[in-house]
Amino acid sequence: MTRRLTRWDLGFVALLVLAVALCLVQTAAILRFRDPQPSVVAGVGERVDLDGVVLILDRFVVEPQLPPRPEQDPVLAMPGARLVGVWLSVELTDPDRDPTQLFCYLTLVDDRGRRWTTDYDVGGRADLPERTGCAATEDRPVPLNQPYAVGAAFMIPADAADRVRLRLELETDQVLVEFRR
Amino acid sequence: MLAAVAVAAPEFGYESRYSYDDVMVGEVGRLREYDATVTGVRLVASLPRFEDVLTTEHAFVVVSLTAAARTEVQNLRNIELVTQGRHYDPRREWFAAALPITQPGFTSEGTLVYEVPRDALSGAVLVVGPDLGETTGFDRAVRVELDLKDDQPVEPGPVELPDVTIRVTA
Repeated sequence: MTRRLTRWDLGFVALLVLAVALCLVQTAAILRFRDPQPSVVAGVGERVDLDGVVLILDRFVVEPQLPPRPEQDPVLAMPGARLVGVWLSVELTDPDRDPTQLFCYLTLVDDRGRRWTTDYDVGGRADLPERTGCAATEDRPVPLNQPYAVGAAFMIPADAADRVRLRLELETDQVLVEFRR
Repeated sequence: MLAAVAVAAPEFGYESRYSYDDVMVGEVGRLREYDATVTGVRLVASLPRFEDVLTTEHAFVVVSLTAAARTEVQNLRNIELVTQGRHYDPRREWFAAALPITQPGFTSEGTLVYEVPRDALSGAVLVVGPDLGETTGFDRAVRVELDLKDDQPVEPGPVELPDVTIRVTA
């Protein structure tokens, strides 16, 4: 014996569909947060034009050591590790952008899902640009239409040396740029 | 009914969000982002602090441990000693000996010092938790049975704490 579907049945189905949809949306958001994908991919020397900001990765070095600052001791990786040095050129081309809000975060990733953050100890001893961030500060203003250098250093295990990629996240733009060697 | 649920429901603190990997000293415990191993536990009554020696009438529980980060950098600041319903954070005086920030593919070794009453040592566990972010969710933690007894003999000390080390994970 069958019965007619009531509005309560339809309401229940609608709620069920909504609950499943919300679960899927939340799962997708969590996966995006945990494994963000780049919106732009570029190589060394390639120009990346974003919204009023131009980026160029000038050098991407993975070696057992990095050149030291003047009068500093050699900067060596620990056994089984490699040092990574990156030199970036950043240029602000839009006068309407607030240079103090130009926050960028540099990380290294590999195909095993590992992600490394900058090593300030190595960065302080290696011959890298003084700037470690893209945003203007009181003592380091950002000129319009003039490239300025940004650098960063990392220490990674040697087994990641051939597979690391550099990611730069521009926080205010929510843009993720990936640079490959 | 709401009142009954409110009374009967457990407090939804961060601990209830953890599923635990229960291990003993010397065993590897597995969290989602890193492996943790307590390599040694000592009870001492005094420890050096710069040019001074700090002495306690209780016990300094000196815990040596390693952490091997897998995919994300770990701050390793969410490690507490729990005993008889009480929670203890590491003593700040010896933070220089604690586990450093550890990048993926690297294993760090450090020491944490907790000050605990001598009659509250029995049943003490070290809860090694995930890094706390802006939001906390359900996650894994490691719970290490320290195998301590109330009024267990305490070394007079002072004992030197070993230097922090970092190496590439084998």
